[in-house]
Formats: sequence, structure tokens, C-alpha cells
Amino acid sequence: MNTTEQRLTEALKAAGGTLGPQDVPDLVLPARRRSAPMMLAAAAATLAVIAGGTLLAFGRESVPVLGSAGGDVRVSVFLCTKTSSNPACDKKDATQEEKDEIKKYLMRVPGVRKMEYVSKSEAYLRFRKDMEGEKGFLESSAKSGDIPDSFQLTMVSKVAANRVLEGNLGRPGVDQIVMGRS
Amino acid sequence: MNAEAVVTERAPGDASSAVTDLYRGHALGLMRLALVMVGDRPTAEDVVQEAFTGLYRRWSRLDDRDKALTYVRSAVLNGCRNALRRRRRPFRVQHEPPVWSAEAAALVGEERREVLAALHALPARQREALVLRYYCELSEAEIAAAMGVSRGTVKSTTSRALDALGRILGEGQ
Repeated sequence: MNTTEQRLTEALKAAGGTLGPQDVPDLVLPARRRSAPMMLAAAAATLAVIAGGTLLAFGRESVPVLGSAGGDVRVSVFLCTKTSSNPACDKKDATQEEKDEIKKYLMRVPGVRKMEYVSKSEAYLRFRKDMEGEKGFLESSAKSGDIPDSFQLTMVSKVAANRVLEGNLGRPGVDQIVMGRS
Repeated sequence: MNAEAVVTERAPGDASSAVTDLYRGHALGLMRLALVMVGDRPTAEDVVQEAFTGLYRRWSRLDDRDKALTYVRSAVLNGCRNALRRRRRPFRVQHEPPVWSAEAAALVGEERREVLAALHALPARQREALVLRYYCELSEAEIAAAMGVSRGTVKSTTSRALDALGRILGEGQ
């Protein structure tokens, strides 16, 4: 090391050395939002889907989105079925071509941590399992055909989840897109 | 990112414990970095607090949690740059005299004050490159990541900065 480097190193060390561990304040982080509203929103989303209701895409700022670990956000892309009330579905199941096209696009969205295709029957099985113990609800509502085929995605962030929304709402074969647990 | 990718392991616990741990390990070093960049302690403190708060807010959006330190280091550098830019005239509203001012000579000694003053005569990017190398002792790759430039740029900037610093100090003699 030549003189300039030596002088620089020593000067910086001296200046920085005026600060010690005792000078480091405690970190104050902004308060977190409570999770209760998230649970309600997710529950409402599930019920509304079963009822074949209206579009449930949450706007960017409106509802906090449920995540699992850290910032993970679940997005469900529900496909058209004969019973879909969405006029864009034309009372038809999504065709294999349409499903392939949707899958192709979804795989290209940045921020996908995980993606799986869940058929009607698989979804119904999972739904029954989730609702175990809530007898009245099960008996009175869902039948196997009520929960459509879907692509279940886990996105790394809310921003990434919104990308799924923006890119696919009008796509042929897509009935609804729901953010949060399904 | 390939949609077929397997679920990656995420660090347990929420963002606040991860960010707090990082703070405990690195806040002192980052405050010292900020101090030699901006010159006074309260500003250095603010810059570092802001950087960690920003990290906390963006935690879920971090693609790679291992890059958290690089993120917060870059945020500190940016914060320092902004703080210096906001001071149109040096020493206008200062909590304390900057470490390179005449008043601080008593604290750090005249020789060192002179070097620090010379450092602050350099363009911001050159100053950053020198501090990250000679104070933080980061590798070229780490400096490149923190400054958001290529390693080649780090090399050339550092070399130019040393030359310039040497000239300024040489002139003083």
C-alpha cells in the first residue's frame, strides 16, 4: 500500500472509530397490520367462489392479501365451466387448447414460486377435507362440479400476484381470478 | 422464474426478526460507513434507520433474502448521496460539524481531517468506491453490487479516485 492508501485507511478508521456499539440506537420498525381482516377476506373469497359469484379480484390497495411464509401470495385462476356465470365463458368448459394457452402464459409470469393444476374432483376433495367438521355447510352447498378446474399459483409478492391478474383476466377459458387461499 | 420450480426454503420467523438480526450484526458498520460519507452522526443514524425500515417494508418483495445486506448497503449509500445533495451549502444546518471540518480536528487530528476533507472533494461515486474498499474492505464484487455498477467500473473508478486523492493531498504539502 502506498502512502495515499495508508493515509486514507487510517483517516477512515479514525473517523469511523468515533462511533462505538453504544452509539447504535435500537431499530424502530413500522407497526404491522393485524391478520384478522386477512382471515375474513380469505374466508369470504372461498365462500363466494363456491356460490359462483362475481369477480373477486382485489384491487392493489384494497384488501391485505393472505400470505404463507413471509410474503408468499396465493393466486387461483379458475377456469370456465358449463355452470360459470361469467358471460365470457359462454356456458362452456375451458377447452384443452385454452388451458394449454393459460398454462403457457402463467409459466412466464415473473415471481412464480410454485404452480399446480387442480382438477374439479381434486378441488372438491380438498374442499371437503378443509370443511371437515362443518357439517351443515357441506351438506347444504357444494357439489363436485361447483369448484372449477384451476391453476393454483404461489407468488413471491403482492406485486407479482397482481401481474397474474392483469395478464389473465380477459383470457379465453378464464372465469375468475382469486387472490389469497382457496 | 420457472413455474415448475420447487418451493424454496424460506427463513423461519417473520420479517421483523430477520431484519432485526441483520441490524444487530451490521448497523454499527453501516453507521460508520454513513458517518464517513455524510460527516455527522445524527444524519448517519437517520440514513441507516431509513435503510433498514425500507428493507423491512420490501422484505416480501426481495427475490433473494441473501441479498438483504447488499440491498441495505446500497440503500445507505443512496441515503448518504441524497443527504449530501440536500445540503446546498456545506455546514448550513448541522447538528455537529462534519468529521472533515476544522472544528472536528480536535476529535480526529489534523492529518486525518485533511485526508477526509480531500476525500470529500472527490465526486460522490469515487468517494463511495474508496470508502467501500479502504474502510469497509469489501471485495470488488461486493462493491459492484452495492454501487450497482460492473466490476470493471469499480476498478477504474477506484484507480481514478486514488489518483485524484493523491493529487489533492499532494497539493496541500
